[in-house]
Amino acid sequence: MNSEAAVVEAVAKYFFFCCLDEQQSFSASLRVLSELKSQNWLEEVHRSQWVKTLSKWKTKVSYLRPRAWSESDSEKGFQLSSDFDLNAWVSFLSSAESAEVEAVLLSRILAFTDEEIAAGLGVTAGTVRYRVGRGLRHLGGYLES
Amino acid sequence: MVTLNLEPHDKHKKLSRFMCQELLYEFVTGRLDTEKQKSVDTFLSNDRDTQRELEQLKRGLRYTAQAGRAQISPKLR
Repeated sequence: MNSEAAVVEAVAKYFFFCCLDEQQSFSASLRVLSELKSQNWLEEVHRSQWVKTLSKWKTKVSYLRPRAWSESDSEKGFQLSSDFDLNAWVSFLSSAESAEVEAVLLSRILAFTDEEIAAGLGVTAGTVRYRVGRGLRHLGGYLES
Repeated sequence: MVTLNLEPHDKHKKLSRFMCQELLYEFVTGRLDTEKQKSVDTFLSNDRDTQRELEQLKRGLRYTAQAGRAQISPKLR
């Protein structure tokens, strides 16, 4: 995957998992990609700037509330495996602290390193791991064993 | 959001349940030093509540791995 494809994928997935709304994530992604392009931050070497920019824009779409998700919706765009329980993510989004959600999303779903996330959010790598750990335990509570 | 110093002053001090649970992510991803890894392992073998937390964390890890494989809409590419 080239840098441009990687940044598009990261940005699109980030907003999708933030608001679970294809239209809104499409719109927010375009704005973020435009900003990253204007700053010349599309290369992989700027991944911590991707994190910083995503986090900044997340606050602007935070008025969005995750909506109920039906199976037919998944046909529209973002494709997930058929056994993926998106309702668990909805519950997690609605109940966890936003810093934990963001850490889990950036670290475990988008595979940013602890150091990239730490630099982007202005916290230590230890704090990132602390938030990811708490977030994963919280999320796991919504999943069946 | 509260942050936590996970480096106890006395490394030989017995782990509390709270501290052990906060270390589970680093435990499961193999980032603890040998001594701490062993302390968490020992605590886990005797504490059901922490075992449950570990299972939840592992479920979270499996779930997010699956989420990471989501494909984005071709119109966004």
